[in-house]
Amino acid sequence: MPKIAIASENGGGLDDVVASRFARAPKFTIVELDEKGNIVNVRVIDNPGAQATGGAAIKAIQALINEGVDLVVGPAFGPNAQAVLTEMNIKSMTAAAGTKIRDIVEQAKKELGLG
Amino acid sequence: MPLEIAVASGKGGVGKSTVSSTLALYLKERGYNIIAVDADADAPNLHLVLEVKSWEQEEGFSDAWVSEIDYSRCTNCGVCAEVCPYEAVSFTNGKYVINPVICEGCLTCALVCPEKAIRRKRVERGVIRLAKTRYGFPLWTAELMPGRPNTGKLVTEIKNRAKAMAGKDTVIVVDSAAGIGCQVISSLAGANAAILVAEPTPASLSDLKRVHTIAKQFLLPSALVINKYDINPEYVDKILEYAKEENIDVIGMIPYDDHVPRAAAEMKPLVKLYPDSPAAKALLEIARRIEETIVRNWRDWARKHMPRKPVHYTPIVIKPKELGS
Amino acid sequence: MRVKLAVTGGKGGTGKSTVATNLAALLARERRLVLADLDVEAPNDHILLGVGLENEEPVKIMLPFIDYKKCTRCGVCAEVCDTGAIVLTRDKTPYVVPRLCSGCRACYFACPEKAIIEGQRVIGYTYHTNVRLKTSSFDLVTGVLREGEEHTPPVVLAARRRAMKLANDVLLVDTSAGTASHVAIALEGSKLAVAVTEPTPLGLHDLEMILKILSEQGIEAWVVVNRWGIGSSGRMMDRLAETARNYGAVIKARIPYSRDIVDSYVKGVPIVEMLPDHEVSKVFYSLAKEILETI
Repeated sequence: MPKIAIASENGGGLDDVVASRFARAPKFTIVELDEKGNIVNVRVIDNPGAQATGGAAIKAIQALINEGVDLVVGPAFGPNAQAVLTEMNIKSMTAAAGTKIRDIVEQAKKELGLG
Repeated sequence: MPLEIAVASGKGGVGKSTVSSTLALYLKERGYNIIAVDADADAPNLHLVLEVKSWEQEEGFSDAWVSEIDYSRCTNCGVCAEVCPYEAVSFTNGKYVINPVICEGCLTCALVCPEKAIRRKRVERGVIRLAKTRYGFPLWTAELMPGRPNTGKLVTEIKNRAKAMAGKDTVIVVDSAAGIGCQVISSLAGANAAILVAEPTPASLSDLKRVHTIAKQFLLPSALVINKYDINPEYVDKILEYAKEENIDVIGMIPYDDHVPRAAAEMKPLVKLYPDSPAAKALLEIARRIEETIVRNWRDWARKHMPRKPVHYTPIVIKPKELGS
Repeated sequence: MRVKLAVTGGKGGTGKSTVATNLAALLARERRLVLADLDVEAPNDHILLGVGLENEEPVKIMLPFIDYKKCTRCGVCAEVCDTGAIVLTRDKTPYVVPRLCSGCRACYFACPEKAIIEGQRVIGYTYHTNVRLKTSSFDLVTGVLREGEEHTPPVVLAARRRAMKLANDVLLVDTSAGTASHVAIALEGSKLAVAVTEPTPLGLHDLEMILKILSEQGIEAWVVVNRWGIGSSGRMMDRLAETARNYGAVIKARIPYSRDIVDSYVKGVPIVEMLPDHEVSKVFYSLAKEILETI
């Protein structure tokens, strides 16, 4: 079942908003969908990149790989982050910081070809 | 979303800081919310041009490593010197010494040392600073400690700080470093437009092409400013030819003008000190055109000036024979 | 190789390459010289000398390839990788992201199963061109970083090594601007460095940074002030002299600003050949003479 990770500004969750930075976002909201695009599960995880002194983006992506994420949403991805996502066949999507996460899920469904 | 404009050149000393500072000042006076970012971490200069007297915030980054040999355990076997990828280990005065301004702190020597005599320690990579300029807009600066490996991380950090404080109509002006290395790559990544500055010399054209290749790798629409165009009018044609081939928007040209170094000597922005000088007039006209075409109409402008021959970065990789093809 | 000299300077665009190419042209009249252009992100010496880049050799750094038959998914390779170039999948299978790899080989040494095999990645090129001027000839070695590659030091190192192999008398290196570690790599082993600056506050600020590194590395520093004339004040020169003194360096020459330099710059002929009686050329002669006496 497809999983989306959204860089979250505050405590995470569907009512939170997209963070202003990907690698240093305090949390990731993990939304799991079924094949029809219905939300079946929402979790929040800490971002190991948030406190990292270096290589934050890579640490963040490693955590998302461990979660089995298929699509990552953030305000922007640097060339190194992009390189890793491409190598690992993880889709990426940008969304303006401050956008409601609930709204993002709708766009993300299209990106994944669902619903 | 804030609009990010990166000013780059490839070649040093052609006028990046003059163009970026003028652009920031002009747009601020036209009522835009501006944030200036000095992404030349090797030799930041924008705070000098913008007459910054004190810093509001200063933050050290200690995320760099340097390796050190514990001489109580070292047996002088020299394996560390053999494996160091940067030749940072030399044999001086009877012992092996790691040169701290070359060492990048990778774990290689520590891993091969048979006596486990090498440890690495955290050292300061650089400092990021924030100032409120007297012109009413903030300036973010990054400065790399001398001898540290060049890195895009400091540049990425100050750009992120700028983005975090930006409103959706803010214009962020990024003055990038010279060259095409990681700092410049980080300066151009995520920008909405690149303003490339060149002077009419073969060296500058060569460097312009290199930095434009990076812009193409990012699918970044670019504009061109030719500085000191009258020092060599026939070379101007060569540069314009390249711009035409590559669909780069030629925004304007600035004549050679003594007032520029004079203003630099006074450490004041040219357009404030000598607003009627030929160079200042040309710069202001360029800033006006940038506002009109890039800032106010970014979508249309970007579509028109998308790189005609986009380039995809692909690493050149040589597989080891043992793994077959 | 008998002696290594360097031309450097913190600020970009002060005229390092102009000084380096002219000094090379003059020193080569008396000694067998190799000029190494180690400004690998934006090399310009060949352009100022009007020559091409020949005898291309790729600069390769190690790229790890994983032998998945031997890999036990322990994850140590990803742990020791500083640049994040090894990423683990959910079941801890390591994947290499070539673009991020700096070629340090930490993973190779760390792998307990010897499951990492050394492959290579080309990140740039070095060139060797024989430069024939009217009054001297010398060898030019140039390093060029491939566009899109981020890691400069290995290319500087490769070009430096190639130049050192060729040099059996005098090696003159032209570094890039700034004070990052790749400049320190370019400067390594130099007996004397000519630090080029300009008489402006920006030039002063950047001069101090490069003099600091030179002093720490035990390299004798001679300061050359370029573009002297426009808006330059005696006060500025005093401040430059004071800064130089603070780091045990000395101001050796002042090159007056001249549009004739621009002309030679554009035509690809060093000014000492194009306008040998020019005041700027005279400054280069005396500087070269002093260098020859010192080495």
